[in-house]
Amino acid sequence: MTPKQYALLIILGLLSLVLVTTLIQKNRIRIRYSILWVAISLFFLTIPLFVNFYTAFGELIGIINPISLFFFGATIGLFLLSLQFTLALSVAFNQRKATVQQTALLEERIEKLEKLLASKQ
Amino acid sequence: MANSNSDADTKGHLVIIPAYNEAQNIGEVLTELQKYGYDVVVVDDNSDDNTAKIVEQHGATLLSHCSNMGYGVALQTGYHYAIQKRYDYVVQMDGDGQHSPEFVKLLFDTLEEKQVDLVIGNRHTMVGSYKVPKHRRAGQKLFSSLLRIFSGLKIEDPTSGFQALRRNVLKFYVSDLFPDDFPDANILLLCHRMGFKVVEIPVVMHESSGVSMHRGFWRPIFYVTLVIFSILVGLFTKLPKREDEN
Repeated sequence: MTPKQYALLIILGLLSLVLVTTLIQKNRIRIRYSILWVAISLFFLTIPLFVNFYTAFGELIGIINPISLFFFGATIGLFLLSLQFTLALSVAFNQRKATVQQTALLEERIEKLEKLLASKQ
Repeated sequence: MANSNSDADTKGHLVIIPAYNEAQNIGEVLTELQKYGYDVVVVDDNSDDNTAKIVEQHGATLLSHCSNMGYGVALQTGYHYAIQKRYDYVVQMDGDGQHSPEFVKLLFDTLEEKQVDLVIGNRHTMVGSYKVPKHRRAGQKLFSSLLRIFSGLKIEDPTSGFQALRRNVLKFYVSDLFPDDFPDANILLLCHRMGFKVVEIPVVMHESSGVSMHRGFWRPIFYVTLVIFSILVGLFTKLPKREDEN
């Protein structure tokens, strides 16, 4: 990897770390999801430290160019991340559905009880 | 409207109407239903118009969703209500005037007299029904064929939302297995796999006056694909044990 590529990775890592930290500070992102992004940012920052390891690993699985290894890893990572978010989205929808249904049923019961109380007073 | 049942121990008939922006038609449907004296619950799926107000004016029970969740979720809210209030028999129908209230009694009667669990109103055999557009009819025939191949069920109108259900089916429908995204032919396959007895009877249906959710070119293709996929998933879904078999 060239010094320019190192610099690009470090800048990318720093930018995403700042972005995630800001989002956490503003309470715009849940801690459980933010940890993942902090880890990804730190991964970007530490790539230059372990270049030899990544090069050796790349050669082991038949990827000569470290940049190709980076893109290969990123593709798999993004796929897994999308799957995780689809799961989280499905769970969130089911929870929202249950809340909306319960609210509608409770609202109807409260209205009935209020009418009953009013008729007794 | 005869919403006279107390919460304690009620058994009887309930009509569930999921509604979204049905202010134009829901009043007429409720007026028609009043003639038969059934309990009616309308699930307003966060309408922008005054659907809720009209429902209240007609004295029907109103369940209001605080956000728009779609047809399937609205239906399921109605099922939850029916279970909570201990209704034995339920008819679900649309609030847009497509389903004729005069056939509600026939659906209930068939459910009780034929000792079946699910009755589907078939719009294709009775004279007087509207003519279904060719592309929609093709979709219905495709679902019907898939059902026949995978379950042996001979249902001519598997997409009909005009149905009568017994309490044991309701208990299944309030579970997580209910496909609230598109409760269509796929749910019939699950019902068959659960061992519920399903029959079809002819009813008259009118053309919906509202805007179809299947309008455009891609929407119907997407919908048909989803339902086919859902039918295939339904073949392998792990089903719970029926409560009435315990």
